[in-house]
Amino acid sequence: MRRLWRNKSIRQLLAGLLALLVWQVLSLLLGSPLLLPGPAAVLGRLFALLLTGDFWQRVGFSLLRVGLGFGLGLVLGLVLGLLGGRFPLIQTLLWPYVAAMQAVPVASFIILSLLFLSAGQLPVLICFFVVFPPVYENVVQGVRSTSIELLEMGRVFGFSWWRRLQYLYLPTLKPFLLSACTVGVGMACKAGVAAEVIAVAAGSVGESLYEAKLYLLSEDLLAWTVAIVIFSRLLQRLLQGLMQAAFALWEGR
Amino acid sequence: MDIRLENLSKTYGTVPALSPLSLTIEKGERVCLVGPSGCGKTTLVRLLLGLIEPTTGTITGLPEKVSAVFQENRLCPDFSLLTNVLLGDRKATKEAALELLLRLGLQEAARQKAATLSGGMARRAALARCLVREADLYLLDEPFSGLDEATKLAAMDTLRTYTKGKTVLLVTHDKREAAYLSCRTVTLTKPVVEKNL
Repeated sequence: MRRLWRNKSIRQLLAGLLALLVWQVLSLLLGSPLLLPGPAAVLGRLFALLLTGDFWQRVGFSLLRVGLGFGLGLVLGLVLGLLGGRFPLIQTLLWPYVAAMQAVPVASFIILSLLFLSAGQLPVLICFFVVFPPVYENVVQGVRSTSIELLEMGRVFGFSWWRRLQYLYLPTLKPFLLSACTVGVGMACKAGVAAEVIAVAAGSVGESLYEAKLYLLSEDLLAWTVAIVIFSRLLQRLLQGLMQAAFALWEGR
Repeated sequence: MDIRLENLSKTYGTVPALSPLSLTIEKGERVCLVGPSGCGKTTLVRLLLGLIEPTTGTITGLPEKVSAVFQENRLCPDFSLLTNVLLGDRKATKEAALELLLRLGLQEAARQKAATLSGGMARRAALARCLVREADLYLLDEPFSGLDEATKLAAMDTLRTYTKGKTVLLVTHDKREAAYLSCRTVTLTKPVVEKNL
């Protein structure tokens, strides 16, 4: 028993089970499935949802938009971060936009953007808005911390910019990029669904959340929430795995 | 074309790093730079590499294609030894790189990540990267430091073979190295710090 307790994942699993128990007890004490349905009811509802085609269509719709926005944020953050890290003038010119993206509440962006974007397009932009700043900032920092000694070596050996990027900058950026992407995916999932809820994007996960709230379907609300959390974690793991595999492949050549 | 250094000196703030130096290195000549620590050998190499600007004086006749072994190894730690050697010259072939590794006794470590190489292996890797480059001037800052006698001999031999007919400037502490490589020896003296009394 003591040996089991020493295992961190087992401890975490037990704590998780305890939390589920607390949830169940709270739900029984409140005595109203409308206010707080118990975990068993929510998981039951989630399994029922998993069996419907509508669920997967909505998940596909939302993941596509989160993925697009994330990809856009990652690519632009990487390119502009490389430029900003290398040329201080570009970093100076960009700072007002990056600072605004970081400071303005996501809800304000969503409502403002709704004036000129359709409900289907909105999540893409919002995901981009939350992913771009951390990726950009991390890449700038990574470029700045690239070894001067190695950069001098590249200069003496006549490295092209592409070679410098491949062999000097990217290896330094690796940990920065990995952490920025992991944080970014989680934020993109949350902000993307928030945008869908506010815009009531037809056929999205956010629309289901909105309807569950409208018709007081608490079980549905929580079941969808659990689904979002699970998909967000899966995406994080998938992305981490892909990036690590890509780096390993590249370095092993 | 000969390389001419005229009244070349370098000062960092008020600290002199290289006393005024005039020197001509003929094309195809091998020059060994000796002198005590702090006499400006590495500073001179960095000036010739164009990594720092001189405080006074000029350098003329520097060829376009230069190769170097830095005082530090400066390998890309995440990449294999072979990849690091190939980074020395875009035109370098894998065969040429492997041949060099064989001569330097590194063939078995070709696929090993640079970060995992021992000090002596990393030093030889830096030398291999320098020699794989088809350059007109080779600047080597203590390329044999940290090597044992046997590997040092092989490394000096390889250096001699690969730089035949090329201009070489070698920084060393060891007069035997200068003799073995049949260099013209140039001795630098430590710059004097002027004191305001």
